[in-house]
Amino acid sequence: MTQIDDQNNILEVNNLTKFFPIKSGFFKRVVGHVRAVDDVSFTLKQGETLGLVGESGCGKTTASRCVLRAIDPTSGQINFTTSNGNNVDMAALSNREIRPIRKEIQMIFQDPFSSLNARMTLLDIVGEPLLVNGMKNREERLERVSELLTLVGLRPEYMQRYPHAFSGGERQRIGIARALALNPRVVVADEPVSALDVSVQAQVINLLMDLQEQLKLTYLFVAHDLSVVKQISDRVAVMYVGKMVEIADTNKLFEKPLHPYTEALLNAVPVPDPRQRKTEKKHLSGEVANPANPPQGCYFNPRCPYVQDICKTTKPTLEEVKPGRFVSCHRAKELDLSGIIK
Amino acid sequence: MNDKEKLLSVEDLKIHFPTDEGIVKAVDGVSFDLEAGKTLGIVGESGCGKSTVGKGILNILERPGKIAGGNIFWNTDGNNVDLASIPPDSSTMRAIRGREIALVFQEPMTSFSPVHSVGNQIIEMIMLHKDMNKKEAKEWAMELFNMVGIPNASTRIKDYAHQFSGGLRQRAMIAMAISCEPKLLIADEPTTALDVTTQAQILDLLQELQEKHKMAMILITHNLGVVAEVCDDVAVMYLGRGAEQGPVDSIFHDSKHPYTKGLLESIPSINSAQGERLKSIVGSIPPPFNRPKGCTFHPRCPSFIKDVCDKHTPQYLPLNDVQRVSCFLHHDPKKEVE
Amino acid sequence: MTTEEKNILIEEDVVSVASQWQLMWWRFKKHKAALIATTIVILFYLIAIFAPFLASSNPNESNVPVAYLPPQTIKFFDGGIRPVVHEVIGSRDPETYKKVYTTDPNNKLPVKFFVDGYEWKLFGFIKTTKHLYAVEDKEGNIISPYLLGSDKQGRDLLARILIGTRLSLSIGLIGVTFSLILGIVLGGASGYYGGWIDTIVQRIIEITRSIPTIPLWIALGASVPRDWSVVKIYFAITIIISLFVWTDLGRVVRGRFLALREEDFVTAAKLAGASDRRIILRHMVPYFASHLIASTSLAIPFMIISETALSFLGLGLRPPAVSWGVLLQAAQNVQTVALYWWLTLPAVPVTIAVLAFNFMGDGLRDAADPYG
Repeated sequence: MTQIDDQNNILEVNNLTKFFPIKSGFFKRVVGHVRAVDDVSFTLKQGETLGLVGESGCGKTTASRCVLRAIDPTSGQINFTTSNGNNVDMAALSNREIRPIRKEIQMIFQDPFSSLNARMTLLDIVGEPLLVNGMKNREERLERVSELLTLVGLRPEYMQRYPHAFSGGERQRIGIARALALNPRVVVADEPVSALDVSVQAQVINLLMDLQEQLKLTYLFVAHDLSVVKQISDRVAVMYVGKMVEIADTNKLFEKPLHPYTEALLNAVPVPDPRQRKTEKKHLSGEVANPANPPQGCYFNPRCPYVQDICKTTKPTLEEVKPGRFVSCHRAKELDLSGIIK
Repeated sequence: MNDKEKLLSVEDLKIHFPTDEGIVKAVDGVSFDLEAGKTLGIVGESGCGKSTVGKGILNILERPGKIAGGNIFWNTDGNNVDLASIPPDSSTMRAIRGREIALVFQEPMTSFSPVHSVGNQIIEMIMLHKDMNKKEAKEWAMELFNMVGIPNASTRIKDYAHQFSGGLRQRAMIAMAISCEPKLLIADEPTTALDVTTQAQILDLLQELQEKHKMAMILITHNLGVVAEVCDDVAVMYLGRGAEQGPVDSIFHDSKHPYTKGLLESIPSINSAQGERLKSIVGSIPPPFNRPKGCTFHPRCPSFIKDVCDKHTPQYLPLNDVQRVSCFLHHDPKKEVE
Repeated sequence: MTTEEKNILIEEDVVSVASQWQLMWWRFKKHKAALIATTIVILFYLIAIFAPFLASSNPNESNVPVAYLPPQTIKFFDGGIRPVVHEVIGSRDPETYKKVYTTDPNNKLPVKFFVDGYEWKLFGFIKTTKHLYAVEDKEGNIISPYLLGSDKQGRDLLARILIGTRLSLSIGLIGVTFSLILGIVLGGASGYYGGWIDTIVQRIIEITRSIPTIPLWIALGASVPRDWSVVKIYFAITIIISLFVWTDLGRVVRGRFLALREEDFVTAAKLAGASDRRIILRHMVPYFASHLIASTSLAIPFMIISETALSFLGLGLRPPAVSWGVLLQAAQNVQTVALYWWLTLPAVPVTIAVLAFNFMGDGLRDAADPYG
């Protein structure tokens, strides 16, 4: 039965799992699985921004694409409250049943080049979601597209232009306009600024924050850049090798992380101020575990500076140790870890 | 700065790419000096020509690029050579490449040949530049592997590039670069393709090696955080020209050029409040053809002076002993040459 | 704003609203060799359409008295205003019994333009008797000069080469169309659905490509019944050649489908709620159409060569069909070539056509991705 416990939650992801089969040989036999997303749970509150962070291969992108049903999860629940108040488990719907719900959850892509069809004009790109969702009248579409382009800070006169006439930052705005065309309630942004130049990044981050205020959007913000995540997110969820390791309010997480991996991640971020150069360096050793063959026990144990015997044998589970603070570590309660802001 | 201390001194370097559509002035007047054992950061956004400068120093430009002007003085053991004036495939240049100046790329996967083991490629490199036989070279390669923190050196030396993870591959690349104990290491976005935790490891490693071998380093990057952590001096580039340079502290706390200021304000800081709006530079970077006249930054500049910045090109002049800036806010336009 | 700046602005706007095909055309225009080649290709097809108009003698009409006549030349400045052709008198060498032709410079036959000759049909249905040129003999008969000589049966080689253009070039077009259909259907299914369909199609392609072509052609060519009509044989040969060429196109289509399936803009369309049909037709097909055109134009010369080779070996088209390959059959034997060298001339248009198609294809391929 699909049920959302908390009225404030717009989306609840429970025990989401996505395994990719590894095939080998002439007959393409399955010889193993990459555990891209391995039993992950989190919630999205109405109107908030949840930052989903982690290093490459941690499964953050896969998890976000499952939420969008751009890929089908292996198992788990994705409970979503639709605009008319119904609760649906998106993971259980067929491709046909999902179509009416798609317009409520839209996506912003990382690459401003491959995400726009170079052979279509802005009008066709931004107008496509409108067209396929029943707005057949061209005049109406023209009006809505020009409204959307103004909203994201582009001149509506550019509607007949092709994407190749625009810079990376402008293309990203086009992508945002497309995502907003159907008045979605949730927007999944997959590294929306990481392909942009520093001076342009700030423009797009500001735009995303303004749009959220104006349109009461809920963001799932996937990123690897912790300073960007800090800027935009209300809460942060940290993933490591397909597992959720910690979820907390942004400031609390940056002040005092509860998971050793979060601590390491925060301390690895270079601070753009030479006067704050770190005197003692606490950097992780070793390599990220292979999601096709993760270690026994806690996946982080081979690199963890606080490792104990239990970590090598037993998998920890994600628990709420303080109100609103979820962590998946055997020693969460006893460790005193250091954040990077006072 | 005393001339004797300068290891490398680049003066008004110009690198042009003649194409069908016109000449792309990838680097159009860049100057900087580097002392032995110090680290210079070259920062800038896409299209600023920072990578081209790195390749230009070694004269390994992609076709049709060529050095169109300026000097690159390379000063070692009392010899002073102008790298810009010697042919790119001359024996002098080949002897300097790899042995005296080494390069680390952003994507180490393409820097290693896929058909030879990483170890063999490093051994080859050592034998080419150092007076060592195969056995000695192999021992030295293993030592290098240990030095850069690649575990199980004796087995990994037989592995191919694709068998290494991104971080290990970058370590192997660094091992190859330092194999001949160069006096200068040019690292072109060495950590951009890596995750933060791996980035921190690699930066630690580079700093450690630099101290140990008294190497100078040019770190080319777009990441201001990395620059702040690692560099002694910084040169900021915009659209092929030097905007500003100086000691790292002056760049971050007393920047002179409006572009540097704008760049610093537009990066989200780990210390800024959540939800706070960032200051951003208006507009976007213009395409390589069709660059703005006058100061190339003027269409985006908040301190733009009409009829000055759009008409005259500011020169890259020293402000004091250590700082240099190219901006009419600091130099009198009347003194400028058209 | 100076005029120079205005010009830049206007130019930029044109580029901004330029569609894929416009960008491609601008890029293609820069490729001079490809432009020249395209003109040549167009000329060839014009020749194919108007071949009987250009050939004043009936290519199928034998005239044994003038067998193996060497090429005659038109004299443009020989006294009068009109260009003339000197009359040829044939005789037998009394010792070798070889036929010897001597020209008689005093016997000038004037060249006339737009003359009436044998009847032909323009586009297959407009009846006409007009021909570009011919000469008039003493008796007032309209005859054609043998500009490229004649064959064993005294037929005009130039007329036969011109007529042969039709079969040789159309086999390329029709064959490529067959291959394209096979390639798009099988390659597309393979790339879009993946799974076992992909595996089967890929194995078929691999097996087809691993069979040595010449022996298989010989086998297939030999299995075409001798008593079939020209048209039937023609289609049989076309299909045989297509069976090999489609594998290349199939691979191109499959590769594009596979790559495009993962593109962000395709995901975006899916998330917007677009149907599979719309995604394929609106997003995927336009993306690889240009590449497909380029691959196709590179497949045509292969077809032309294949037809020529098959017919030359006697396994393809057979007389009375006229194609360049069939004409070259006459030049199979060294002795003939030594005595009547002009019989090898049909190889010239083959070479020119193949080169032209290749250059045109190269240009198209370079222009196919104007965003790269």
